Amino acid sequence: MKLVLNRRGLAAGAAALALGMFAGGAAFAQSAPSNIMAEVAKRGTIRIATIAGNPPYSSVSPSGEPQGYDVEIGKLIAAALKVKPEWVIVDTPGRITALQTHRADITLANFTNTIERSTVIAFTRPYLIVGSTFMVKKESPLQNVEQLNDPKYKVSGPRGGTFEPIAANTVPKATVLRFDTVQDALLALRSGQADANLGDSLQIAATIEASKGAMRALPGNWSYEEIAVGLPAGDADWFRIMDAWVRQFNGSGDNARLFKKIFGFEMPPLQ
Amino acid sequence: MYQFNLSATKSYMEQLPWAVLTTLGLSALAILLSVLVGLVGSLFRTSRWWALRFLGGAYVEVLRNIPLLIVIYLVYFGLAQIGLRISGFSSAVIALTLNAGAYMTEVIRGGLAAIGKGQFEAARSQAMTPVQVYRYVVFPQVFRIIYAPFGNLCIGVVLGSALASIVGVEDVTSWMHTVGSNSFRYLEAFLMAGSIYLVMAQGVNLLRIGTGKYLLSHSTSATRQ
Repeated sequence: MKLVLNRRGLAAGAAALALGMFAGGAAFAQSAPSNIMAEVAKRGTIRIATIAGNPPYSSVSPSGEPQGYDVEIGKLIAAALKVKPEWVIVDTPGRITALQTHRADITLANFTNTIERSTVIAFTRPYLIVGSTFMVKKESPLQNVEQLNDPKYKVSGPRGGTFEPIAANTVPKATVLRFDTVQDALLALRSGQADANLGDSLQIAATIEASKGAMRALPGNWSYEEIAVGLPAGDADWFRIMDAWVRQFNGSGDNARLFKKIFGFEMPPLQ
Repeated sequence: MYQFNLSATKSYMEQLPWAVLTTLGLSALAILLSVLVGLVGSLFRTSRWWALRFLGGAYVEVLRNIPLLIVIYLVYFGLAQIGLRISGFSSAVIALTLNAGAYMTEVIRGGLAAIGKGQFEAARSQAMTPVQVYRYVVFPQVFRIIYAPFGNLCIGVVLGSALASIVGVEDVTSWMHTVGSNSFRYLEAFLMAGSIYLVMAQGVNLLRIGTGKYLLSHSTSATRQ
């Protein structure tokens, strides 16, 4: 066939390309594996989705190696299954997509079990309970969250996490700045683009500790979040294996020891 | 199994017009400003004075060799750190302008280089001032030469504006992330945003063709005077 490049031809080509994208998407969606454990064993690796730029949970070292609390947990899970961990670095919303599209077998990324998320993916029991706190610079005039509820103040947080609904409930009048990663949201506070940062209470505690007095938290906890291992929905065996692992990880005290090693303070009780 | 369902994005349609306007506004401002930067930059690049040529060249080489993403970070986070708090939108306009301006400089310089020396001499011999030479003789011809590469640049700016979402600009890319993360319909959100960018980029291109046709027909009579 001779390829004719005229305007009509180009338009038809674009339309064909768009159709191809849709068709490709549909074909991809239908290739879902039915038995993840068998696939993991056959492959010899477990594909773990995590996010970069979210220390001390997970971040990527300058040499390209993932590191942090969630990364250590992933290595332990892989060792328990006698396979190697294979990291899939995603962004905050990508934690769900990676499971939906079967690009990852589990997600370990400071991942809160919400009812909304539970409608599309599965979660194990929690391995950590966290809250949400607001952090400001030491010299900030802000003393409490009520003062922050003003359009002249900017609050930063990551897009696609639990940050948005919490900010909308606690400081509805403040200006909300949304970023792609937790690190960018923190950078917004550090650089002065934001007046406060809303985030995971333990992460903020660790950040304040590391800042040596340059940052402080505003009083109050604004959420109850169960951090759990995310799984693709619809594989009961995979859930059974992963949930049992988390139960034993919590019960043995391994979790509390790992937490203390990474965060530098005692792990809050799981309840 | 993933069920493709476009209607799941329906409840987010309300915010879409604002997101499209933000992207278009951002792109239009950056295109206009980068043309101005490109005009000045190209005159610097072709200047008689060594210092101006050096400045123009340094600007082009530095800005063409730094990823746009980093320029946006520098303007938004970097300048804030030294006390200059520029909003996300303005930071994106500045970064896009600096980036596109460097390419624009090279495009216009290429156009200027294509105008023979004789043209300048002939125009001068008609007692035209330097401004008149550029206004009536040089730029109308440069415009025809750079007409096509300018279109590519415009599309590049529209697509490059997608990076503005990293500094909190609520543009089409930001809308896409919101739809994806709230409805868990990423495939739909990505495809919709992709289609919207395609339409916007083609829209900007058609606008360029329309404006070009209008200006070309008018500049012809101007040069014939």
